[in-house]
Amino acid sequence: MLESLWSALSPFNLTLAFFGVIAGTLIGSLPGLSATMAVAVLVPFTFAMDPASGLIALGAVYTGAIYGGAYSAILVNTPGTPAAIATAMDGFPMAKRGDGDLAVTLSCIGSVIGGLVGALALLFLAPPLSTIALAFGPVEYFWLAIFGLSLIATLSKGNTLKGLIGGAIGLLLACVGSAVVGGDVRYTFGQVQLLGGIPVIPALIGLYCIPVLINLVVKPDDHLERRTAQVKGFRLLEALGLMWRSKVNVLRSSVLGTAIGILPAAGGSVAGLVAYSEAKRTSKTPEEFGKGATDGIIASETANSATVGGGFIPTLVLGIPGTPPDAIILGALLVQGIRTGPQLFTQQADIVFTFVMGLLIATILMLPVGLVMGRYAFKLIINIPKTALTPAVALLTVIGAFAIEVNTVHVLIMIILGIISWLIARIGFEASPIVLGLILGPIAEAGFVQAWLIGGAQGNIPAMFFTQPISLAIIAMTVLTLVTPFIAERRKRMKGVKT
Amino acid sequence: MKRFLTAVATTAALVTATTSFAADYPTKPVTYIIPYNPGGESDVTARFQEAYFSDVAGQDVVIQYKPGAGGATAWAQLNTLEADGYTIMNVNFPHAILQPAIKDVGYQTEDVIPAYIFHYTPDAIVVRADSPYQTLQDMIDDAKANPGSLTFGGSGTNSANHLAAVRFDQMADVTSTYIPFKGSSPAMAALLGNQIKAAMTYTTQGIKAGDQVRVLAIATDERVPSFPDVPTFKELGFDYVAGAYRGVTLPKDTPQDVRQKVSDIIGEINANPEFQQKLIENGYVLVDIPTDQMADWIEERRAEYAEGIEALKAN
Amino acid sequence: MSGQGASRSIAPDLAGALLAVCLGAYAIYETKDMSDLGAVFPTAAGTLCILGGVALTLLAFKNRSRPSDLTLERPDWPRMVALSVVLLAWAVLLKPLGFIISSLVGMTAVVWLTWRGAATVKAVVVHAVALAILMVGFYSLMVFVLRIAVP
Repeated sequence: MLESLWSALSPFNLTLAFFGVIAGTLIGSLPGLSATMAVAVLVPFTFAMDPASGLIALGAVYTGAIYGGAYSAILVNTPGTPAAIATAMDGFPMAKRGDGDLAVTLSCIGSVIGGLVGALALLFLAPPLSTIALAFGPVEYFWLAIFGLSLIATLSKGNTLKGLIGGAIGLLLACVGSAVVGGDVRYTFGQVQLLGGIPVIPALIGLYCIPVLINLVVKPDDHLERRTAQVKGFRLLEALGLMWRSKVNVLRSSVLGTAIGILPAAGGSVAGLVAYSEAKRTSKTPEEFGKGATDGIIASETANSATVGGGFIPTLVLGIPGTPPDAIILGALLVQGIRTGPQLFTQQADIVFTFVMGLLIATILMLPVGLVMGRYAFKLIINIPKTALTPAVALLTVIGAFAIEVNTVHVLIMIILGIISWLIARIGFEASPIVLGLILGPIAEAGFVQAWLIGGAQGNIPAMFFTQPISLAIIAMTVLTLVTPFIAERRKRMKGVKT
Repeated sequence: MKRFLTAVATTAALVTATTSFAADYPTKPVTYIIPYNPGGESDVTARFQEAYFSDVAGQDVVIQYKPGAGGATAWAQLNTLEADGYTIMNVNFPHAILQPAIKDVGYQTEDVIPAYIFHYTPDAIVVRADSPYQTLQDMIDDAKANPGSLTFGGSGTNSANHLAAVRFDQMADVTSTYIPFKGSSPAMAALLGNQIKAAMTYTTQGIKAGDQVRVLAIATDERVPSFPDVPTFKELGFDYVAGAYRGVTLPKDTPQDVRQKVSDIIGEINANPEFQQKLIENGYVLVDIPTDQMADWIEERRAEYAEGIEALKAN
Repeated sequence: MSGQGASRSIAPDLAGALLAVCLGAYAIYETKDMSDLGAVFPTAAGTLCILGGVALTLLAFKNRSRPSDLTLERPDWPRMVALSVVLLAWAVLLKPLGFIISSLVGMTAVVWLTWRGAATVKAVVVHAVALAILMVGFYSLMVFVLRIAVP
């Protein structure tokens, strides 16, 4: 293992990791230009390198790209990847009130810690942890998605009922297209382009970013509050202090992120949301969440970066990739002549350890790179005149929706959803519940249909859904999440009566 | 007059295009569209080809993903793409015969005729290593004793795996329950996690899972080198050779000589011993169906799948 | 600002409820052609929409005296509509006009819509240069780095 560390630390590999992180962060910060794309483009170049260097470059770009998503979430309220949804909930309010620099620094430190925990888990615990991936079958995914949907109740900032309706609308959007599981063609209006369903990333860009763009144009005020006080620099000490005070949150989010990252069908979005809602549920000041609570950013960013290491666990041990970038890296491994499987950690251990070392180094490099880039991104956004910001944002939305699958129809879908999103925001409907429905709906539905069919084959459908221990635990968590706000409300009222 | 001029212009353009193109095609990188998410067999084999493409063609190939509707989204778009030979697309069978036969998916099989079919992944029935089914016969006996209780996981509904499961039912005269998953990997995860009894999948998945699984039978003519101990369906008395065939297609209007050139390039990559070695190790079986034999090959497949398609439609 | 004082306008809630009920009803109507298992989720989501819409209506009437949680500003509708048209046209023309032309036109229109101050020659030149740099930068990123085939 020390040898792997040594070979990973060669000057060439370090330079590679350094530029990989920068490139990844840049690409990831542009919504729609995702980690998948960055990694996919890089793969052919790695064929020319020796396997270890190639893998280090891929890992560095991937790590950077996942982190880069935080910038657009914080600075323009646009999670460029589903993993950053929860980051936007508090990140953007913070940026709005002039604390964008602090938010960026927090997200950077959180990502580094989460990334380290995930990578260390991959290094030391991969084979035993991979059993988590196998313990989750269709029923468990169904309940996990339902649990995720129940978070709408905790996450919606305004009217919970409207959040619920929004979630249902998201579920309906998720039904559009030809169902991979079941084969029905639904709500396509005869349009072939809709057979593949509503594309998630263009929908995210539309639902979140287009309303921001419209507001920028129609309202005369500035995009972000300008601080009257002098620019405070990185606010690193302040951020570290906040992290220290939230150490429980950091630890919990890292563990949750790693564990949920191991589940192939869940990934960064679920991890970020679950960590966020747990942070809110256990917080002493839950009412701050959604209005710029630092704990919200810490939870979301720590957890979604931890999924990077977590996601490689089933990829390498079981040959089952957790996310599309994992799948591309898996493909690159196969081409390099590496065989995945439990034996990988014994027979080709040096390659694996070099790769994990590369991930660790990239994660550590993210600290200086992220801090500096984040600072400049924030300064740029806050200082750029609005008349230059709006065309840039507009161009980015178009590119992002187009580039993900090189499809102009996706741009149209993005803009239509965006305009609708702005209109219904005026009557109190937010984007987040809709997005939750859109992302979690397919996971829930596939799990439901599969579990129903398997239950039917076993002759007992109710037992399928309600007797498995993991399912029961998730159901209990769902109930807990749903009732906590009411209990808190009641407790507050009781206190109010006493004083 | 105007019409005449346009006609002249188009002809001139076509002539120059065809002559200049075919001679030195390709002169710039070629976009290679994979109609699935990364990580599946289509992606992995394209990545293997990518490593050799520039040696053969003198230009890079750039892989791009357009997943959706089991491949149908991309195939339905194929003929809207520029027909200059710089966009090639992966196309799979039986998918491209199956999908239009069952539902309106926005394309017909004729729209996506491949320029070259370069390999197939044989169908394979895979169970967990600790499964009570030691042989295919054990499985069939159990399925006969308890109709419907045998669960086959596979990738997608009305897909290649689904067709294979239906054809297996017909051959072995049993009733199984097919459970669709969003790809081969999730199906294998469900198998390893003991949620389903068997996976109707490909040899490649059996290799990826290593000794966590046992392969019961493989749908090839002869035994696969990676699984010397696994019988073929033929040995077990079922006349069944099938799998997912993958090829490369181009928009319909691509000039014939460019199509031929692409066919030659893919064929040349297929002839590279190192490339062959890598594919065989991973459970693929190489085949060579160049563009001039394609029409007959497609007709054979249509005939082969007809009965299974009827059964799927009846579902 | 809406300027309607403390009493709450229930119009937004009623509009939302109407939207939800219509959408839910349509979703359920469409399930007639679906298989049994394929119809479960659309039916459930549609039912949720309808129930939510009904509950929203009832609550709106019940709470009509409470102050609204929405601060309704009268938006600049002409700008909003113009921007929507620009964005939609941008999306539709992306293919026929090509990426560069449609994006340059689109961005120029967005700048024009955002512009509020006086247009000095210097400002116009600065913005033109900025747009050109943006365009060149992103075009090269897509074409040369990410190797995307751009129309």
